[in-house]
Amino acid sequence: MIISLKDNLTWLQVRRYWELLHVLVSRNLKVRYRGSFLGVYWSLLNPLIMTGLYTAIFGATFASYYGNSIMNYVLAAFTGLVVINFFSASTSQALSSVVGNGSLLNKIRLPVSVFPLSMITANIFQFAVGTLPLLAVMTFINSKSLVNVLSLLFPFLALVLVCTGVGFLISALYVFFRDLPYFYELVVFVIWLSSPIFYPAAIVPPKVRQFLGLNPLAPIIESLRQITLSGSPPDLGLIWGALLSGVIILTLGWTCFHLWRHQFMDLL
Amino acid sequence: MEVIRLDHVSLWRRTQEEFSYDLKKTLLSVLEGKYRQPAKKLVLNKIDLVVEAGEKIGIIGANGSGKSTLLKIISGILQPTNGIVRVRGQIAPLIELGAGFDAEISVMDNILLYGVLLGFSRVDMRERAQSILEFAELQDYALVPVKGLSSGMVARLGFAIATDIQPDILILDEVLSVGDESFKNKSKQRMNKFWDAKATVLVVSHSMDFIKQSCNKAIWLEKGNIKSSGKSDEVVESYFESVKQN
Repeated sequence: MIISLKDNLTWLQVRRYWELLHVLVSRNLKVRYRGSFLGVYWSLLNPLIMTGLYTAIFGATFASYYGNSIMNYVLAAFTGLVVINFFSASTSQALSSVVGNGSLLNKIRLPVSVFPLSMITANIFQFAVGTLPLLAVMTFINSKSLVNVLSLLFPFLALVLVCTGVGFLISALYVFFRDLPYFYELVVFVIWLSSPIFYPAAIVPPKVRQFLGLNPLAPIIESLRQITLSGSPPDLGLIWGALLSGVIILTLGWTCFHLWRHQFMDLL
Repeated sequence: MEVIRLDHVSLWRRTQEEFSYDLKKTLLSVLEGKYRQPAKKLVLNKIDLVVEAGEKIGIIGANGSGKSTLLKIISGILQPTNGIVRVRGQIAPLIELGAGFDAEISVMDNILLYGVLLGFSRVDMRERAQSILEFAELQDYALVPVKGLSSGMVARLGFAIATDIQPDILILDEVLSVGDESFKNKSKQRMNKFWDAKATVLVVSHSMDFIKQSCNKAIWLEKGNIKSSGKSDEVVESYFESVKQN
């Protein structure tokens, strides 16, 4: 658009995008944690309580699948819950981000994709401060290896890719279908139950189990558990599987978002 | 030097009645075979417009004639269906004030947020923050969340942020006057400064006196077409005549 600045245009756009992302993310975090004493650590409370609950109810029954150790069950449930919590929180927030800023988009020219992205980024920050250190300590105690601790970043990266892709897709769909949150709640619940979080995958009948593989979070949880809990060096095959599912979903989500983007303004 | 050029710009938009905001309904209508492509309406029809640097242009016309839509096309908020829009220079949209505010965070944070939304950097806004607070007379409120301000204060803050700049092109949807009498004077002075400066101004207004006095050119839109354009008093006169006839 701005002819005289053509050479600098991409650089300026990148800079502007970065500035926007920065203020929007810090706004999100400030709104969320203003005046709360525990601040960002509230986000840890949910997976910790849920882990306690699952352990109390299922721990004794399922312990035999986890080498007869309740502690192993606790850790497995916690790693699974951390992943599903991140997914459900970040994507649900991304869902309403485009529509929620509709009036703003009608008044100022802004890159639309910055809104879902800022929601995901705020959650990444929260995760990096709250949950990730805890996972790192767990991993180090279990494996005594810094390689494992560092490779935690790969399943997490895959998780971020999946969430960003899904976030783009549903924030775009929400523009067209305003009853989407009800359906999405259902989708999250299905993904949640079909991920082997609080039950061992081994109890699922083999015929059904093959469908669990379709769950995009399954390879991520599997890879994360292998790195944190097994004590053996990271399994590259699992990491690639997780990253691949992330890249595929991000590509899909971004493509849809990009294709539908020019129709948004008529409906906002 | 021309700063804005619109060549044969047309815009089709989905009509309000056709909003299908509902996944359930859409799925059902597809299953029943009743699904139709959403209807579209021509909002702007082959608009040709050239604006030279420094021109003050008033846009007039009945409600729903496409005035605000034309401004949105020029600001790049909407993309034209056909035609080319070319703009040279930085555009400042002087929008409904307070649209970018978040009531939960402090005035200071809102200055950063709103400034970045309008296209400035954070560093830039930190430097400007003091003069903005001063102009809005809100120095004592820098750390108060915006929800703690009165609506007049919020409007003052919005005005102070949006006008703390010298844009190349200023876009105004209705002229602003906010706050109490003393602030109205202050904001008027600041607007006059824009007018005297070399900035190009595009303004939508229903106040014909204002258009005649302040703009040297006017454009009369009717149902998405440019009915006439030229010297502001002439266009306003012919607009008045056509209104009288109806």
